[in-house]
Amino acid sequence: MEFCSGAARHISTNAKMKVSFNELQSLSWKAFIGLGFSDGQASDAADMLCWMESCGLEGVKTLKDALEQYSLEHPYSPPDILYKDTDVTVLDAHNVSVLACSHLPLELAFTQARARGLSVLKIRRCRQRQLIMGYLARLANRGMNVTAFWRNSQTPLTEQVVGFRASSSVPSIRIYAVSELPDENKDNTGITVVMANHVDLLPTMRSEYEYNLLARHDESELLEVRSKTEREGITVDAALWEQLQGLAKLTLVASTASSRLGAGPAD
Amino acid sequence: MRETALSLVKQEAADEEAQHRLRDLMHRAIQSLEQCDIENAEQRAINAEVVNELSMAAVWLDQVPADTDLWLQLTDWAEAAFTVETQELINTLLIELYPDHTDGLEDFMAAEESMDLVPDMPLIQLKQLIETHLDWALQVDLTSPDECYWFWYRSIEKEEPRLGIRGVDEGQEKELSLAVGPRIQRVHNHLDAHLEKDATALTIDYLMANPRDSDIVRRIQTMAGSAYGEIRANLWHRDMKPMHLLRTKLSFLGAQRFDPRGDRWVRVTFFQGAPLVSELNAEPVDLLEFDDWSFALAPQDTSQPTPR
Repeated sequence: MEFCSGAARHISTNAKMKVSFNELQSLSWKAFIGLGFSDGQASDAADMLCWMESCGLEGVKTLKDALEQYSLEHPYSPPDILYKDTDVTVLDAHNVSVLACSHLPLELAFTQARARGLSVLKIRRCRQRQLIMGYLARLANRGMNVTAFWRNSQTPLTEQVVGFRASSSVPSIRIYAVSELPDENKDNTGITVVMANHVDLLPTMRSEYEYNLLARHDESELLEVRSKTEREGITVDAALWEQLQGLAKLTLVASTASSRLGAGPAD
Repeated sequence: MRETALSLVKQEAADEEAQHRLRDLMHRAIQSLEQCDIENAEQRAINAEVVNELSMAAVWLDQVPADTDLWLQLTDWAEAAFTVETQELINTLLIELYPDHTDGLEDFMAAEESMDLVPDMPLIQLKQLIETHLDWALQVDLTSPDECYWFWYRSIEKEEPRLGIRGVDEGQEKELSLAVGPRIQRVHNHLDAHLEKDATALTIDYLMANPRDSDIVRRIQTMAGSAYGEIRANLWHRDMKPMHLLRTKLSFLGAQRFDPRGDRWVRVTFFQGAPLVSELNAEPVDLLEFDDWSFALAPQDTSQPTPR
């Protein structure tokens, strides 16, 4: 990460730039490879990031925060399976980003829901949970009803629920703060995903408890944002862009006289 | 998309008009290939063979009735008797016959490149998929040094894919997974071991144990059914010529008259025979006149004085 922070120093932290969806996808894929992701992880992570950004859900900002807060650069071991039966799976991701650890467990839950009607996946100790929406969108597109739940903070206690209808490419999102704290309020960096083959699981706020709705995004609003993003491109922080370029460069190999041989009329 | 176009035109019932049109296109292609001034001896020989085979096809086309399944007869024969170059040229000419059916496919060329996993596919079915559709990848002997000679990497200069010699050149730790064939074969080998433990396993069971294979499995499941979906060759092989990959890519853009100038670059011609701006600005009566400029021929020299 030293390379990246060094590169970022040359650019004003406020500078913004417009990029296309394809540019962001291509550069972030290379950057994830540079971080040590496998080809499959990198491709899924880039898709998740771009989906978030195309819906105006600040995927790039989440990645920026992630790069500042956590080192993504370490050898990835698959999450440990703490419990698994035909309907329920519980994993420990050891504080790895959902970008790196969630795609295959989600596919497992998808398979279980197809076979059993409903499945539950709980990933304990994972980071940047917001970004999981990018992969959930893919599963919903394949005809699955999906709901994910996680707590954004313990004090105040804020919870987020994301629900995709089967075959819909965008979700309904609710973020709310709960006024009354439960007795047990330990730090919770996990995420719970429920998939149902036949019934939708959209979030509808009904509770005896007092809560304060902090944010609400509905499908129509997100579709509109996505359409605008496709037309106008994506605005990214120039320093972050340079940081991604720096990570992408880690995948490149220095040129030699022999590597240039035979390519093009100059030879 | 080429699979779709071919499928559409092969289903068309041939008639005499289309038969004559195809024969004319064949003669023009033959003439165009004969007029090519190709320096590369190997490509010259390939072109000569195409001319020879296409001439046979044109003669055959002159002699047979316009049966409704004529195009299937022709492509079946070509597949059995002709080189791949001639087969694909015939396929291209068939597509040219039915612009009304195939021009609309242009709108789908910018397809979203999504490869979805089928996690509940039984592992035995995945194995059969590889053995049925991707058997070319299983025929490579990966223990042979020649089969693993090259590795691909992305160069810091121009950020373009380049080749290094495995075990000799630097950069192997940053190898690009461009060669799909060896990866398919390795997955196939791993599947056997997994199936021995659990014959009823699903694809997701295998991937949870082998997460680094997720992209290649997804690719196998998505592309196996597409005849043109993969470069069916071992891109690590010592005799592999990147020029052929370049040629493939350039052909998408309409390049013709391929003249390899080495293993790693190729000279091509773009837009030969295309209408000039001045011709289009001259308010042509029928724009269709300009809609048929494949396999351009050299202009007839009319400047010579007529002998008295």
